[in-house]
Amino acid sequence: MSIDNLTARKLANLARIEISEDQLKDVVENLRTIIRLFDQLDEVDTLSVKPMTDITGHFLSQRDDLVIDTDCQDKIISNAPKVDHGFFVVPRIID
Amino acid sequence: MNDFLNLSLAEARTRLAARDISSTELTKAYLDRIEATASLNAYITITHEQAMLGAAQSDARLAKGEGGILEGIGIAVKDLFCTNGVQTTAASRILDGFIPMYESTVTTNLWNAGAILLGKTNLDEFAMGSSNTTSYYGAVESPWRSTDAPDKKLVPGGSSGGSAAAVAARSAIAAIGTDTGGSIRQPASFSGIVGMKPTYGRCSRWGIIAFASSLDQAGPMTRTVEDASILLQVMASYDPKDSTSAQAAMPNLLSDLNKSIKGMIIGVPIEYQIDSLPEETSKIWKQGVNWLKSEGADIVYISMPHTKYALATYYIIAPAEASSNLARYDGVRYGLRINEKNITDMYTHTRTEGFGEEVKRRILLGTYVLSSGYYDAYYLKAQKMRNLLYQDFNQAFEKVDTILTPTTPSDAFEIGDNKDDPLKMYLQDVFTVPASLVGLPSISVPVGLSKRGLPIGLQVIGRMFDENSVVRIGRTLERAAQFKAMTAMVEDTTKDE
Repeated sequence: MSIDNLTARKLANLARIEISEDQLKDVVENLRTIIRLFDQLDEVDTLSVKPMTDITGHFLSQRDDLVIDTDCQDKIISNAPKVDHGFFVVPRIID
Repeated sequence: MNDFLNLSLAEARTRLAARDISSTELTKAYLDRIEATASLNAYITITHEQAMLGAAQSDARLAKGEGGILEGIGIAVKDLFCTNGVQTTAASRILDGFIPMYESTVTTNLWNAGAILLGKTNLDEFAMGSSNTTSYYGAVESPWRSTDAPDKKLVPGGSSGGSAAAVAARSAIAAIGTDTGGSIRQPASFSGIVGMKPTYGRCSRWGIIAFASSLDQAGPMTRTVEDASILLQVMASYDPKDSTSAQAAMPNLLSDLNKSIKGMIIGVPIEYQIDSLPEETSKIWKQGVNWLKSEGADIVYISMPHTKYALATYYIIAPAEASSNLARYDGVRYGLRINEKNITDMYTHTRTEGFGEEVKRRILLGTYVLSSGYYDAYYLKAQKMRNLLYQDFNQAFEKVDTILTPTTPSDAFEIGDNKDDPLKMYLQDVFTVPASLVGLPSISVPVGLSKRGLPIGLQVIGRMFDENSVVRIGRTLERAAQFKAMTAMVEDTTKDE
């Protein structure tokens, strides 16, 4: 399996990253080199191996169901590039 | 003043408690040293005023015979930990101007123990790299120079390169870093210092900017194994705010530190003897085996057959998690925002301008291995490989107490090397990623110099939650190696002024 220009463009679009025309060749080349390393895993038969999703081996702990103070709107918006009336402001979404 | 810079953290504690020195003097000495070594670019932010204020407060507590375990000691913090009111960058342009409104759990633990923030150290952007050359704030330079090309600037390793360079250059008595696939241990090895990654879950990830959440762990970077033990003891805690935080209490790391290792069984995995391993690394590794043997440990050669697949497994899992974690950087709530014409353009331009090349590469890789049609072939396959690696370690630990390997294949390289070949850069992590994927505690201890006069470290890997054996073997190596080498720029500080 390998990556072509079209796949790279598709990935970039999914990741909301732009690849310029003059970067494309290098980007694709580098991705291909790395993916060749991944293909090494084909040597190993993993048909009967369970995927490992948790290395801790314990159940995820849950917080106690307690009321906590979450009234910190001013803190939450303090780093926002643009705010109005305590809300995040983004460009118009519906024309 | 020179005296301050050569104190270990343990010595500084004793002398502060005895009121033989003051935190104000100590802190001032390190802030001056940060200025004198500014060309290394180890720090992104220096919290000068805050540090001096903290020192005065510590001195007041010490005068009353009070104070925590780290009272009055300045620590350098990798700029991946959120610090309340202090700019936190992850060395990325996309977090431009970000000032956290909260403090990470690990740094909270430090401050509660009386430690003082000296500054935030440089790193590879979002902790992605092994050279500390991908930072938006510029590369970090190692204080070390090789004997064969002393005019060439070397990397301190990465991603915790600023923390490593600071400790090696004596611009911090100790530092904290994070390790996802080797980001504490590899720079520690390159920089001639001790670096430790505890068991996954020991240190809370809350408030650490996420790279790969199933792998990220915080840890200490110090000059001695004892210092690493002291610092880790404070950093580790159960934290309900991190769902993968371990509930098991950390045993006292200092209690067994200097005990004999007689009868302990050390595994030497034959698969780490890779073809490309330079002879000098191999020799130092053998030397390490002999040291432990002469201290009474039993050496067992073991096989961990899936070792060679660990790197590929890691570079599927880490970018997959990163691509998901980094989706939050969209220019809406914090950091950089570019182009406000329409929302999709805003996302795309913000991310395109805000992320560096390596971060974008890993986001694309992660997007690829998680995308429909490739998920089973790559991501699911890697999760299965992770299980096989886990089984390798499990079987090994039925026979041995700890495992000894080199930390990195070679000594430090020049700034700019491996830049155009991401795969070559990734190979730096070949010996550190297996323990990361399985969540095991491991330490890198400096044990010798290469032919070029650069530090080489050895890695000790222990069982899950058995940090005690790791620091004990680490301490034994340290005692045997008597690593006293200093960079020229540090030697100057030991001379009388």
